[in-house]
Amino acid sequence: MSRLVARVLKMELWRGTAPVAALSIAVAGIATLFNMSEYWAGRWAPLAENLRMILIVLVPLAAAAGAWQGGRERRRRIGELLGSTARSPWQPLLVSWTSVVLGTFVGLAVTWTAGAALVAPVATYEGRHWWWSVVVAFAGLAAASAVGLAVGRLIPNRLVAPILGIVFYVVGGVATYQSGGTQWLMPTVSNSRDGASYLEPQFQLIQITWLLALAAAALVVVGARRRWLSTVPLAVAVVAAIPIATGPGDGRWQPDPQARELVCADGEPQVCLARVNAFVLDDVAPKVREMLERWEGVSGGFERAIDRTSLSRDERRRAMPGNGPQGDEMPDGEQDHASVTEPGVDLERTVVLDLDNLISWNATLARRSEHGKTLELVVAEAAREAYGCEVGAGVPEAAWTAMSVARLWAAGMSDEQPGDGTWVSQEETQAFEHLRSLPEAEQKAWMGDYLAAARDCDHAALTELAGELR
Amino acid sequence: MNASTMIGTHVDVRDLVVEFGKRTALDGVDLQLDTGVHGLLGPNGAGKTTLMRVLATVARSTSGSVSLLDHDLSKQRDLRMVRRRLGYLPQQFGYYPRFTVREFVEYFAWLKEMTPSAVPLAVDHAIERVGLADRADDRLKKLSGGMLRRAGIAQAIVNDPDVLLLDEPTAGLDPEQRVEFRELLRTIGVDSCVLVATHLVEDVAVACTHVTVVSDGRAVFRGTPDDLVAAGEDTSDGDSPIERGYTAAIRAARKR
Amino acid sequence: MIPQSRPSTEWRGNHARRTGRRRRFLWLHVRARGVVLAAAGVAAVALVAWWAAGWLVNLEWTGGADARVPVVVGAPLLGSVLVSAGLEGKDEEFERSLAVRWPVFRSIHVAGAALAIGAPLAVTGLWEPRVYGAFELVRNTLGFLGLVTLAAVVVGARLAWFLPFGFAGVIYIATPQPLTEATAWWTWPVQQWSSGVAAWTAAALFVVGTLAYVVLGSRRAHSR
Repeated sequence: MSRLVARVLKMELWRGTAPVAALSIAVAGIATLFNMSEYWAGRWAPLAENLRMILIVLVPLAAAAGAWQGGRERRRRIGELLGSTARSPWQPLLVSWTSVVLGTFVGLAVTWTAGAALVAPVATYEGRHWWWSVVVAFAGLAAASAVGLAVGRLIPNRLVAPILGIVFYVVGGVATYQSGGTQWLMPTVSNSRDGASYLEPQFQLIQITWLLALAAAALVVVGARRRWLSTVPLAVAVVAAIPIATGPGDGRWQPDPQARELVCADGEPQVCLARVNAFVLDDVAPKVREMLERWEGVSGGFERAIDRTSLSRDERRRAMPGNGPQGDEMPDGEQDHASVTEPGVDLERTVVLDLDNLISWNATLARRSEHGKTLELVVAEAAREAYGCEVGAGVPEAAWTAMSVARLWAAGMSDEQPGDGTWVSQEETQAFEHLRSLPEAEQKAWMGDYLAAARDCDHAALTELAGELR
Repeated sequence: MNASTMIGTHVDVRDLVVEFGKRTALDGVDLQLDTGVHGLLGPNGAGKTTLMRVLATVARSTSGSVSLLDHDLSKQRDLRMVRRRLGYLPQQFGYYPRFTVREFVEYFAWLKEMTPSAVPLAVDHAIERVGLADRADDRLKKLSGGMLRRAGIAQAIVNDPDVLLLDEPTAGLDPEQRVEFRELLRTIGVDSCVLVATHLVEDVAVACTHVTVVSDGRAVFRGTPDDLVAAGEDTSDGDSPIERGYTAAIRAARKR
Repeated sequence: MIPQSRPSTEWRGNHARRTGRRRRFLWLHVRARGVVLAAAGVAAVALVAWWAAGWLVNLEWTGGADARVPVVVGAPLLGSVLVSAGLEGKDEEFERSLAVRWPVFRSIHVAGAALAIGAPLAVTGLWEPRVYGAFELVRNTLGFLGLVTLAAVVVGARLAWFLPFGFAGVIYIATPQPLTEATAWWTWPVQQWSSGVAAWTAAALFVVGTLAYVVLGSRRAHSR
């Protein structure tokens, strides 16, 4: 690149849409990324996944910036003057596009760097292939700005930029609602995988090819004198799009056994988190141990806690009340992975820790999540999850009461409401008060009986247990 | 600049016809121009701007031949050679308001495929020639109408064009600036072909070596300003001799 | 045979001629401001909104009315962006020099825009009007129009789209979850109708924007 071209690019960078694009993408990016920091703080792969998620806002911004830049020649009525110059039109177009792309790239880079600054000091797992996800995000902005530039050139209206932005937003939204492979045609990712899964680099290379070929096709259509030349990149784009669109949807996620490997805190009882979440282990372990102590002396009581992220799908289902599938967050199609728990470990007596939302922006354990969840409530949930039958209309009222009381007991609640959106009725509170008023040994005996009855789905026994507390 | 001495005819237009749909804008124009400053006069709608646009390679002819600097404009490869040696200031002068004068002129130097190493000097020189040296680093949106015109002229002359096409260049210039501008035209006209479309007859009288009057899509008069003055000796419509000549030329054409 | 009647203005009274002229001016005004194109755009937006609202709610895993939030924000936003360009003439400087009572025209313009966007959108949201339906659509139409008119006064109609566009983009994601009444003064587009603060904010924006626009008009583009 000659120095003259460099100077022309510099002019476009400072005088064109690039600064506005960089600023708006950085502001929108940081605002959205940090609004959901609990999903990625301290973890590399989730940072990349969330960067792809916020593209649902950033891609429309890039498209709008491209369209605004593309409409500039017409807005400024300079086409006449440009038409009399020797240089082929694709060259100024390319410089103009490069400036917008660099602007959007700066915005995205600032966003990612802000996130990385919070991840780097604490991350306990380096992640697998997530940088390819970041590259796809950049390619996505490049494609969006190219398509925007082309549309801005072709449609003579000032409102093209905002309307194209909103259209891109709608298309992106619809794409994330698809369960099949078509969702991958947009660079946007529909939801985060908590770093426990990854996308194959080969697949992401195909995505990059598709996006960049699309960008090239859009630029050739408006830039080249021979418009038919755009069929070449268009053909490449279509060839790349076919395996993407016809391939699996959520099934593209591969389980990452290393990320799910259990890392256990020193000492007893056992408290283990997945390697990807291990940076909060020091915060989590003492609190969980304190809560596990309550179960000492309860027959069949819980004696270890492990991270939900580490469980295979089957194990997660077994940990659900009524053994799922209802409430199972794992979408169909995602590849399962082998059990990482040691053979012979009794899942029945294991507390499943679901740390979702419980990690705060500075990568420490949040006292209470946005939704009111606390670590205490998460651990106590095990008492309710012990119930082994289908949850539904057939469960007698008294069984619900028993489950609720057991949970309150496990959480060590006093009179207050849990505050996580669950509501404790007057009757349940009274029953719980009754249980607390008993001597400790009797409390533990009741809890032991409860666990046994719950695991066997013995409704009669549960009703009787609830009756004891009336 | 030496190249210009090699050129036979700078502008050679033969039987040029331009039609926009059913409307005929130019109806068989013949025009041969060499170095010097040429004035293009004519009433509104006579086809001045269309002729300028054809010569600037932005409008296409319906029939007839147009060649600039011995290159036929209908050939794509020749077009590029011509455009490198062309300077053009359109009537509707568009610009990027956030660019500075220097950036704007440099941008066009790049578009005209000038030798990169020659660009910085050429840009400074062009800005100096139009008298904007002290405003070179101001954004275009901060300039007054007259200064903008001069910035437009600067981009037109940055590549030392062999053919310089200026459509209404003096609009917005004050009397003093117009005097300086005519001086500039005379210097450029020494070894280039300058074509100035205007309806300010006095500009033509003072600055031009040749005059062409266009009316209803035809060239109805060709000659020196003195010839035009002579043509108007019989009429009394007009405040100056050359205005009388212009009016007479137009009337004679309409009678035909 | 009856001769074909030719329309003639000769027989009309003076009054009729004046109304005719006024109607003609109005039609020219409507054409000059691109109202026809904007109206077609708004109609298209209403149709898409109507379809999208149904589609979103009936997806198997979406949680009911909440799924309509994108429609409730997006459709009025698009509508007000579409009408934003019509808030100023091609040559505002020139138009203002005309002996026309611009404040009256401007009020009609804004009221017409509010009606033209609000009415069709309200019809599309009638099935559950109080939960992300007609009520919220109308509220957001008024709020976004308020932003558009305000922006037109400050930066000119040509760039007025930027304010509602940017604002909607930011809130749509930066809104703290779960929604609370405490943030309703700035998260009004995504609130439910039951939030009084949201409704009042949108109404206030509309009133302030309209008043400013009616009195001051769109900011004139820098002379060139």
